[in-house]
Amino acid sequence: MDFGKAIRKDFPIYGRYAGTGLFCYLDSAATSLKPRVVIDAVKEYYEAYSTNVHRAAYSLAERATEEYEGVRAMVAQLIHAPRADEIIFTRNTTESFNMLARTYAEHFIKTGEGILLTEMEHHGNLIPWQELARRKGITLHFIPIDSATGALVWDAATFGTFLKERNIKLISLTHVSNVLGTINPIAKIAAIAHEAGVIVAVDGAQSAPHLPINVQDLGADFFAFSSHKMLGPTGIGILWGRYELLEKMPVFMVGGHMIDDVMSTRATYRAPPLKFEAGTPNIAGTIGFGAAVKYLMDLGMDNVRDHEKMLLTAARHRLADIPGISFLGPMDAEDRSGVLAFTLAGVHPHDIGSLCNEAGVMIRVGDHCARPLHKKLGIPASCRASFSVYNDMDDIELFADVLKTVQKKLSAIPVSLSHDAVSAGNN
Amino acid sequence: MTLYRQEIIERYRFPRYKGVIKNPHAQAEKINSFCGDEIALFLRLNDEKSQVAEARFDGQGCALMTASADILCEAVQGKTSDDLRKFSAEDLLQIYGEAPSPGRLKCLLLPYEALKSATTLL
Repeated sequence: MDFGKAIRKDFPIYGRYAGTGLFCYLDSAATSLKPRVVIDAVKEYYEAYSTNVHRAAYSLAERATEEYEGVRAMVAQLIHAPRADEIIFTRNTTESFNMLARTYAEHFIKTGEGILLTEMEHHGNLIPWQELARRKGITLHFIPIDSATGALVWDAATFGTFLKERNIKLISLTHVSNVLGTINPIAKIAAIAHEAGVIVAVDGAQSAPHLPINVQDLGADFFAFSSHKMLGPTGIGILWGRYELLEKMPVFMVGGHMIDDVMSTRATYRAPPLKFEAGTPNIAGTIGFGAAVKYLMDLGMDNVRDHEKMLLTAARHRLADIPGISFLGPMDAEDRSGVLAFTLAGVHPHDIGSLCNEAGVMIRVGDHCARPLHKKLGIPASCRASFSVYNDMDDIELFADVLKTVQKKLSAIPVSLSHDAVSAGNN
Repeated sequence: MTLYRQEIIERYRFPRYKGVIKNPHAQAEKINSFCGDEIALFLRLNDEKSQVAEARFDGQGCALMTASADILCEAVQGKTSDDLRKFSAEDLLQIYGEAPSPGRLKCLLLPYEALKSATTLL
């Protein structure tokens, strides 16, 4: 299967910057580039059948409904969900977690009970729980991480007891850390959680684009992810949940589309997933996402994983001899996905980001929406390069060369500026 | 076009106005919580207390923040407190010379914010 340079022809943005030498995109963990098939699918909807869904009295709207609903089956196939009607369309992963917090958790978790997160969560899987905890008097607990290895610190032998003692009712954790790259042992955690009657929600924003996903093997009860990080349009996300849980959950946003019958003072609602999709949905985005899912499945998620693992290994190797570089997360490529975060002693991440940009290399700098994790690591910010199907060894080579130049340019400064610096005034 | 012309890099690596003034006439600290940059700015007036005799900064941050602080300390020497009150962000950007991207503007302006706070104490 072709990757890297061989498939860049599928991504129009590469053509736009061809020959400039200024398009080395290494920020796919923030959002991915889009292939022509996705752009065309969106364009085709707007040009050929831009009609509303679920209200077809005419054939164009029937086509829109079929295309839109057809994406549920494709997504179900991608993540090995048992049923297509377990796929709820949201705006993004963050909205999926807000929905979960406002519906399942709001209804079923009671004051004094607990929710378990981890120290490596993205804010999207943290703030909704903070707000819920505040509203309902629920306690948040966190599985710690080992700063050196980037792994969760937990003990399978005592985990069940821990859950019962803390009265934990829900675990919501990331499958893959967007900073450390760590692939968490979801299946092991979920097996023990289920024995203890605990529901498991998984943030798949950084795993669904890069790993083969089987929500049943993972033992997840809910699984959330975003289209835009996996070659699809922005503004469309997924919340998958086991159907019997979705049936029990109260509604989230309410209004048109999601109703069954409406009287003046009350209404009844449709079955899942439609009861969670109020108003006209992101039809174009969903159809575009369908094209992205097909593109990824044609590549094969096992092949995607192998390609990105190769790039990750090569990048670590090429960057390893840069003075002062320090990688975050697990050492072994088997234990992590294709995001590579690092710090460079004596060089500020924002300077690295700006100087890389001047050389056409796009990386992310900052806290990557994971500020508690950075606090735990004792650093205000880090740099992060992340890989996808269109990246190739030329990206790694250029990035390594640029980073070496940046390091030489800025590093020879006193690293600790500070409080013992020369006293200038004398009065 | 680079945000890191030679002068900026030199001021970052070898800042001319880095240090602490003991018993300053005014002092202010600012932190950029997004990137962890922190700056303390110190002002000492002349004997007549009419002008800034000396300005120094301390702290840690990126090259743009550090160079900006260094340029600012140089620029305010000899200024009256009235001058300082009138000194605008645009004035600093003009002396700095490069227009930063919106994402980096905060880095350049952190020392300026410290100056504004310190000025209120004069």
